[in-house]
Amino acid sequence: MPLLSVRHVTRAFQGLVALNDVSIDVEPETIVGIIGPNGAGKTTLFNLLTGFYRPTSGEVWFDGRRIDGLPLDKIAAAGISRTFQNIRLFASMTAIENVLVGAHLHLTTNVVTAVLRPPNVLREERTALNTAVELLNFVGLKGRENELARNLAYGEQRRLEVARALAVRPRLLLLDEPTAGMNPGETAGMTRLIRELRDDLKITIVLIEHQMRVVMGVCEYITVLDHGEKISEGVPEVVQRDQRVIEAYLGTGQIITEGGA
Amino acid sequence: MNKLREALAPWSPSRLRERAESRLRRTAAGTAVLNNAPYALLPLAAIAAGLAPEHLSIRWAFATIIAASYFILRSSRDLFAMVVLGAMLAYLPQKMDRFEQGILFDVALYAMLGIGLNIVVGYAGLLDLGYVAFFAVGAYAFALLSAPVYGGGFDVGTSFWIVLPMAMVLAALAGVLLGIPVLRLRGDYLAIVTLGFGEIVRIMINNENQTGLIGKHVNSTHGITNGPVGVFSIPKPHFFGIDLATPHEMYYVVLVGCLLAAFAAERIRISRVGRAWEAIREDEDVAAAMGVNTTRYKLLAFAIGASIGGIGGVIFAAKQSAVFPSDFNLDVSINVLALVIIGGMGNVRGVVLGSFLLIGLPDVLRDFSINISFINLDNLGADYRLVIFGAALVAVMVLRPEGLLPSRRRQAEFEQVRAIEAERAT
Repeated sequence: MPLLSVRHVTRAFQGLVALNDVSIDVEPETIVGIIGPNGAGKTTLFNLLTGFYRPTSGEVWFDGRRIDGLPLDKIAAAGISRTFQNIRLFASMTAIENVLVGAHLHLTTNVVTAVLRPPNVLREERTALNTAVELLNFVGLKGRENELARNLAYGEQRRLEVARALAVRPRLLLLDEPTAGMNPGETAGMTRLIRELRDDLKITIVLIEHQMRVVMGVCEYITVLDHGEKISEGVPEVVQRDQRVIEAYLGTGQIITEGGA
Repeated sequence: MNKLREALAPWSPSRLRERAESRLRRTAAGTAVLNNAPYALLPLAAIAAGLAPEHLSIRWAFATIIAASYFILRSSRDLFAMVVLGAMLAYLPQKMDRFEQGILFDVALYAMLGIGLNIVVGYAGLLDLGYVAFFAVGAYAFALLSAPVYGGGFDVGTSFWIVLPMAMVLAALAGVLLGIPVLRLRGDYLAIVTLGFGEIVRIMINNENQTGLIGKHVNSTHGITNGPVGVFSIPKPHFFGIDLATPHEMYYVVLVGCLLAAFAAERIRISRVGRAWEAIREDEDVAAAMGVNTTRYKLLAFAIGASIGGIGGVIFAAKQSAVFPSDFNLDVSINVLALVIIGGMGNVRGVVLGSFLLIGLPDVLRDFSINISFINLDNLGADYRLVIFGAALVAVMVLRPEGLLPSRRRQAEFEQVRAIEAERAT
């Protein structure tokens, strides 16, 4: 049974159809890539999966439950977590605090226990801190715990987003352009990290990515969107050779204008 | 504005301090003095305040407290400094007259309100201009539950200490009541609606003097709240046989309230709850995507902030022994918000300092005068205190827009903004 099942989902913004009757199944513990030219509806799809948007029609099922229309925090509690294309960290909080906010669902402190601080709260907080430090080490941010998120380097911010998303302890992790703007070294690190997440933590991963080397290297299954429609899907070798995909990326090659870009 | 700032820069407090510090640090003795001076000076200043002639004492006292608290509060975690400050705050009113003790009471009361509002505005980032409503709820809860019939109360005679938790709950409920309709509002719109809420509560209290639908059953002639006449003859609280009657005695009550509120606010801030608020302030949608129930936590911020305001109201009513609707106008909300901003948003210590400046300063300025040789401006303070006060506020906002003692984060944010501005200028 697929972990995530997107069934005939359509999303329109006042006439502009960003996604049109898209169906995607994601099997547990796979790494799935969503690719497509700009404006294909990739991020819209992520926003639908995580509750930022509601689908105009269609259904989203996760782990046997229908999740479309649920509020954001309920979807996070169900086990879906994400990163953002335009990094959206809590900029004025430190790295470790960002991760701790991600761990919110797994902590129990409330107003009363926060003030009285019984031993179990102290213990819980200590455990949470340790886990957060481990997560930061895992994504390669060792020693940067107390740096404000806004002061981190670009690549570090992307990693921190992953750490924060992992702190939610998701079963499904959505990565929106995880290597955007990274240099080759950082990209290789991120690729390695993505594989480790699946292999070591058994997290199912769906990622949006533009760098074909990353997509073809790390994804086991690829879905291609263009103009809000699914035009192809399959294993990387098949998708790579799909004529429709090549056309979507490079055009049909029929019209050649002089001096055209 | 930028030119003004540039021109003033060499004389800005931080530059002056830097220069003085670097000069002092050149010698070993100077370094030692510098490291310990604020603390060594404090007891001296406190003694000086005690020895000063009666009519001068308040000026001394406040100058000492403001200067000392600035140094102490900004040097963060020094327990010794905190103890000294606490001892000073406890000792000084002994040397003051009733009027001065009244001022000190107001300072402490407003500090407490500031701590409450700071939870809503500073921690959760929800601009609340109707904070006075919760203050009013607390004050009227105590007034009505304790005052006799001829004073406009319900003649139940409930004890101060029993009303305290009740008022907390009532004010928290009022906070949730305000919170629910404004959940979806942000920024300016939130400010407008909360401002309206504060006014609505005051006007309701004011108009509740006719025999209304509910009033009929409670009190046949005065409505519920006794309208513009107010509620009076509120009994004084007792504490194990001690009457808490004077501003001096009530000052200690509010001081303890202040400490408890600050303690609770700080502990909540650094907990999971505080982090959730902060995440909401930073990016509400992302906070929700990380599993934070934003609705619940926003309401929680309103409720906690309101309950502190409610306690402030109870203490206020007990000290005044009479409350009137006019005690709860917009000024209170504005003052509390202003002291939070001037002191440094998001920082309890900043709020306390802000209260000294905003609430204490205007009254201290009353007996401010200049008498140098032929210049005799005896009534300078009395006549122009609010002008001086306004100028001081403008100066603070120009020189330190992030407040006097901003939280670490606020500071970082403002530095970022300044860096961007500087980049644009070049």
